[in-house]
Amino acid sequence: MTEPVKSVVVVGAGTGGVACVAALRQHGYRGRIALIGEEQCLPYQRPPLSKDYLAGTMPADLLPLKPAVFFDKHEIDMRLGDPVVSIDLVAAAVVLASGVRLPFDHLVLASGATPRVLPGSGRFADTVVTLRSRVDSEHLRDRLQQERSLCVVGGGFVGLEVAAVARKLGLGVTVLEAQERLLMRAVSAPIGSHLANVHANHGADVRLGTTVEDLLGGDQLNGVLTTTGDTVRAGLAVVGIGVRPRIELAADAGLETGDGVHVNSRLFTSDPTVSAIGDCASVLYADRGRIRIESIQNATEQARYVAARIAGRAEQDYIAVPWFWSNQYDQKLQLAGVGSAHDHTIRRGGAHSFSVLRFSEDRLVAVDSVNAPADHLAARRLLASSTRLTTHDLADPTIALVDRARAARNHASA
Amino acid sequence: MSKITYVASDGTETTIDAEAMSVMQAAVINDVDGIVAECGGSLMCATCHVYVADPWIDKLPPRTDLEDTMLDSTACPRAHNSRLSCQLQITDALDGLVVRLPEEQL
Repeated sequence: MTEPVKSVVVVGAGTGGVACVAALRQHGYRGRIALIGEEQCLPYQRPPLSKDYLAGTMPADLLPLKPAVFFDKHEIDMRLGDPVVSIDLVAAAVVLASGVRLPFDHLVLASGATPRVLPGSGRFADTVVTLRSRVDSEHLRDRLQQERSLCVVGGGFVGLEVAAVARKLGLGVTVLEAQERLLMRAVSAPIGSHLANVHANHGADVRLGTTVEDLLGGDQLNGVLTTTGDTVRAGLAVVGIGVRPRIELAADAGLETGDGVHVNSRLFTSDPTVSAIGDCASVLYADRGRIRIESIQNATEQARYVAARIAGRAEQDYIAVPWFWSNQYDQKLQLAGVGSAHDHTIRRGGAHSFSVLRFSEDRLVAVDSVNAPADHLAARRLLASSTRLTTHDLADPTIALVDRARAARNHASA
Repeated sequence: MSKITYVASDGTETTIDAEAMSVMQAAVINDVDGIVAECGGSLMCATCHVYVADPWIDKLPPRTDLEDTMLDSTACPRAHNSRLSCQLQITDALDGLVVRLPEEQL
């Protein structure tokens, strides 16, 4: 019989870490909890950093995930601005930058990910930037008020959301995307081209199949030389070329890592006293191999599962239908499931409100929706049901996804 | 400032003062239990569900189609007075608003 867990240390005070400590208390766990974060400020929400907070329409007091009193009330030992520098699995303790050692019965790694940087961008200081933290967003917000031209490197979610904010502030915006379509990693081709049109219609210069050849200027950027030989004049570049999971602490401690800290279907790492969640965790699913997902839903849902499991309330493996959203101009993009670049697709709907059903080996694996929330919700339900849905099943466009979802639910409870 | 009262499922009442934010945001920053707001107010999660007390239902701005769709996904049953509190912006006109919190949001 395993020892009861009396002390949990959570590494990382982002969305996953905060959701985990909150869920531990909600599930009745009364032992010690420590939450460790490298940033000094109260833990905060990340999505607004590329949307309303960046645009200056959201006040700072609405950014934190929880007020300070929440952590006091629930007796969470907060170590902010004192990051973990090593994990000692033999002694079952973490060592903080200040030298403090915190012992644990169970450790939850929620260390997140860090933005990839453009090689050679270091000398441009704050004129070539990435966007991940609250401080990044505040600095960028200030610069956007001063600049006239922005070059966005990378047509992913961060880049496109920043592009939309910048255009609305009146800056000239050029988006450079190395692949042949926007958001290739995450969304289907029809959605990628729809969004490229939306951005172009709002006056952004979107260049596909193009990336940075060189950054121009002394110690301040004044332009970007592209791989097609053009020079884009810009005093500011935002680089959104993806993140890499923060696995160093885990790897140094001898835990199994790869593209993320490796965990099994109960979110345990290769050491049963350590779990990993969120952006840093690479989960081995029974049916689909290893996946690491970067999203709010993934972080919060894995956090809640680990908390329930520690509190003795999670009998089953971790299972969830991933979902995600992005707001760009008036486009509400909602994704359900996990697709890949070469899925077979079926588009349903009109020009402004539509969904793309994505099939892999003739099985529905994801649905991308634009301004079609009913489809998106139905998709979440369909993907959660165990019914295998094929292109044949979903070929009839007159049967709405909502009705399909209802039928699947009725069938399951019959 | 407007007074907003949250009535928990066990009957506990919490009254706070707030302005220039949503009923959801006021609950979060005042540490009122019972509203989760997983998506931070993006109409994506339906975890900020509230039941609005009777005299107030018609004083609120009407639901958009998106809110109406999301209300079908609440953890506790949808009722005639269900709203997503991230869509209820606090103004002077809502001074005295009372909302009941569902037992669960997840």
